[in-house]
Amino acid sequence: MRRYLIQDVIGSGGMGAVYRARDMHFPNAVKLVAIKEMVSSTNDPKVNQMMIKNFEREANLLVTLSHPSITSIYDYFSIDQRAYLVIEYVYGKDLERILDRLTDFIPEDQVIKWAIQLCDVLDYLHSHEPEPIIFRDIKPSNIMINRQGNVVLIDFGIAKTFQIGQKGTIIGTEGYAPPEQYRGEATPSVDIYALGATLHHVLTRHDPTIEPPFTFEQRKISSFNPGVSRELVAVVEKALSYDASDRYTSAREMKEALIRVGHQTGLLSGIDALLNRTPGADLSLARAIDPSSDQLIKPVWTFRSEDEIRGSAVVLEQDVYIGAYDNNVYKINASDGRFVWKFPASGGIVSQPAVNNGTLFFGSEDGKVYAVRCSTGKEAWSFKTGGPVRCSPYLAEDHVFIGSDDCNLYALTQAGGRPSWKAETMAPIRSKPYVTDDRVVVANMNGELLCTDTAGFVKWRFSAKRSILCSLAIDDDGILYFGSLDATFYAVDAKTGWPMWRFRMDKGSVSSPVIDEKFVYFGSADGKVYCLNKSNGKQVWASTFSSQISGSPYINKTHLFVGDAQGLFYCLKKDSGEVEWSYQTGGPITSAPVSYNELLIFGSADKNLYALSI
Amino acid sequence: MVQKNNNTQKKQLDNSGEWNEGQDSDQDVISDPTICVAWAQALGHRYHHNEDSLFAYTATLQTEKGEQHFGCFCVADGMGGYENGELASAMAVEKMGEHVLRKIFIPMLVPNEVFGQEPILQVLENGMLEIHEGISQKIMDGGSTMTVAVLVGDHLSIAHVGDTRAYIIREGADIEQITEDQTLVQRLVTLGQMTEEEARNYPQRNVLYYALGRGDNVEPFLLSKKVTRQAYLLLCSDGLWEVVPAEDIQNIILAQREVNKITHALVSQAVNNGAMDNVTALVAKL
Repeated sequence: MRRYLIQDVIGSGGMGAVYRARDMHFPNAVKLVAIKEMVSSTNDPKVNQMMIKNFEREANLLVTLSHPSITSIYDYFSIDQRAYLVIEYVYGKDLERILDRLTDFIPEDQVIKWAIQLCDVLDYLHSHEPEPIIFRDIKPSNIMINRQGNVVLIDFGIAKTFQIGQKGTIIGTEGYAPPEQYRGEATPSVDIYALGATLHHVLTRHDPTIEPPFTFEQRKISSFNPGVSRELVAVVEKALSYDASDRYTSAREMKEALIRVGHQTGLLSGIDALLNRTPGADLSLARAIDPSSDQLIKPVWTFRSEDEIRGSAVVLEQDVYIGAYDNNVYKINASDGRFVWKFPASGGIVSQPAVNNGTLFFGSEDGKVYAVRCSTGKEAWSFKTGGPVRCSPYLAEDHVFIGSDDCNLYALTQAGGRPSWKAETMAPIRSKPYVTDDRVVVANMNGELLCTDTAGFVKWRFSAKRSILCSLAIDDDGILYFGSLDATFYAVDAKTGWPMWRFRMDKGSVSSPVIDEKFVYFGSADGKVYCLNKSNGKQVWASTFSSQISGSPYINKTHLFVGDAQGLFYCLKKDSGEVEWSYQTGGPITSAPVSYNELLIFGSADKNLYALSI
Repeated sequence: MVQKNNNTQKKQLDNSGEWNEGQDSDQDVISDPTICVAWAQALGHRYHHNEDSLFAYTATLQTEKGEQHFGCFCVADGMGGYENGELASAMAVEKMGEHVLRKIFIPMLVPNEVFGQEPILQVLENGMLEIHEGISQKIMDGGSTMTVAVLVGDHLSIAHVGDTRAYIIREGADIEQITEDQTLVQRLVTLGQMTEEEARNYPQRNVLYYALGRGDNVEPFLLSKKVTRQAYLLLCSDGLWEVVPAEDIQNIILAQREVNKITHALVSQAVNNGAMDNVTALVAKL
């Protein structure tokens, strides 16, 4: 014991402590070592024996290893009930302490570099002969970052050699250990998951040990740290797959994927310098990913109006009807974009027409509600309100229900345009109403949601703090969904007016929500498309874009389509929000796409109506 | 607006002279033209004290919108040394009951109320978070699970922390567990990494990852769903569901039909099946 002069305690746990000590065999030089102590405090000889055996195993394991990311072992000895390991002292800090003290995210190139080094050391351990070594407890507190900024693995206390078919004990750290580790399995895949969990922690600065177990899928990296590249997120998510068979088959494969991320994101040059490696083969892979694939998408057809297209189209049989700010409603062949007829109103059209019994209904900036024959494009009737009509009509009970900027909700007969009743609210109505057999719900620009019976008498009111401009969505349980400019998305019981839940966004929303199975989807001015669980309002995923999402989504079986204020039209995976492709138009997209056969049809403020193949 | 019928019962059962190990010993019933609720409790074979607490309140309001039903039901299962488990669960149901009545029921009594206040699920979530803070600060070493169910009109809103459970039982349909246990094994089962059978025998099956008053934070499970009339809502502690399989629970409820008989039969069955833990069953016929 005279050889080592204890200077400080650098860590302690239930089974002992780790000390910083000076090796006095080198009196003329300061050689620091780490001394790991194991104290057996139990009187049970069997437990004592097992603990000593484990400690010896760690010593025997370490002494056979040689890798820049693994500490060297210098000595092993025991005194009474205490056993000691003398290990290389690592100058630096462990990753947990680094994370605790940070106020910002660690740059992505730095994380990729550490991840590659960790994969490298895991690859070394997993390739160990005669048996692979499974570390089993990869987590930030077991990863040191040395003075050179490189990773060093510490604490091989529970590392074990892997024998196929053999089950081990359940050891690991909750939050970092994969599901199969709770069944006692310890395969190389366990370390890959734990590395994924560690990278998730590093990238999001959210500690998985305080979250429900195995919920990384619900806690997307992008929702905590939108700055992380999609490529790196994909690597981490693959490593975090619940099923071991869906993860990387080896640490080497994961390392190669990380190096590819370096190429794809342009972070490679820095990483190359740091790693001092030249992964030539990966360049071809980087080239295989074509960054200009967006331009490969060509519309099946386009149709150009004279002014901005702000509203959504409606499809009936083989034709599409679309209003434009040039005052016209156009009828266009949905298959080829051929012009059929146009009907001129006296003001621009910014909403979505509705169609029933061969008649098209829509409102205009000229203050009128129009009914036009679909076959001929001739006016059937028009009704003048006291202000611009920017609300889309709802057709039900032989009536057109439509709001106006004159603050009234009108119920007009579909046959002749006669008003059966009107309900006055205190603000312009631009949100499409919702009508059942016994009630009408409408929202206005004061943020008021008003429910009347079918004769126009008020049944209940609900107040958001600012305007409601989107159309209302309702599900089979009778819950209404809508966003407001007050940066809140609401779920309200249509029968009683009771709010069930609300969801806070960073900015307001004008995007009309879409319901699909258990979820509700919408965009927001905060630049995100959200998917919420409609039974509790909890976020399932959110995808972040560079500009506000002014359009409304459309959903097919597997994908969601939506446009943004910079004119980009996106195709996202419905279950994850991951972008599959995008298409650039020349102006903001403020409406929802509609589908016709395999076509998606949507307008842009660049005056064009586009038809893209799904 | 007329308050047609208003029944209040709050029940935090504690150990009393007549409580015997493994005996069901308390039951009561609230009758209402539309909502009937009853409960029963037993100590279980291991305990001499009761760490489960419950709360029930129902009302039917006659309003311009028509008849509106309201119900608030809570079951909590405490944990901790000395009396801390009892104190924690009692505090949980008491605070939640008061919170729901103040934030949801009282506003319902105001005529022509313009709704814009806290949504129901947020009320329940905030209530849970406040109770978590309260237990953490006031009851050293105390903790509790809790399930709260609030009925407003046709919609049932649920908030839940830990492993107390809520079930819906209907004629002609399978029993539906509408809460998800916040336990390690439940996560493993959900992920397909463990079968229900394996979970039942897993040594760490009672490890909760959230409990009120324990740990840094809790994230309540939240759910809102439409319920059909004549459905039964069951809230229960793990003392019941650990020993009485879901199918048996369904059979008992549909065979008995009257809520007081149901709760008696459920608790008796749990005791007969060797329930070690405290047993609580609260049943509301909606």
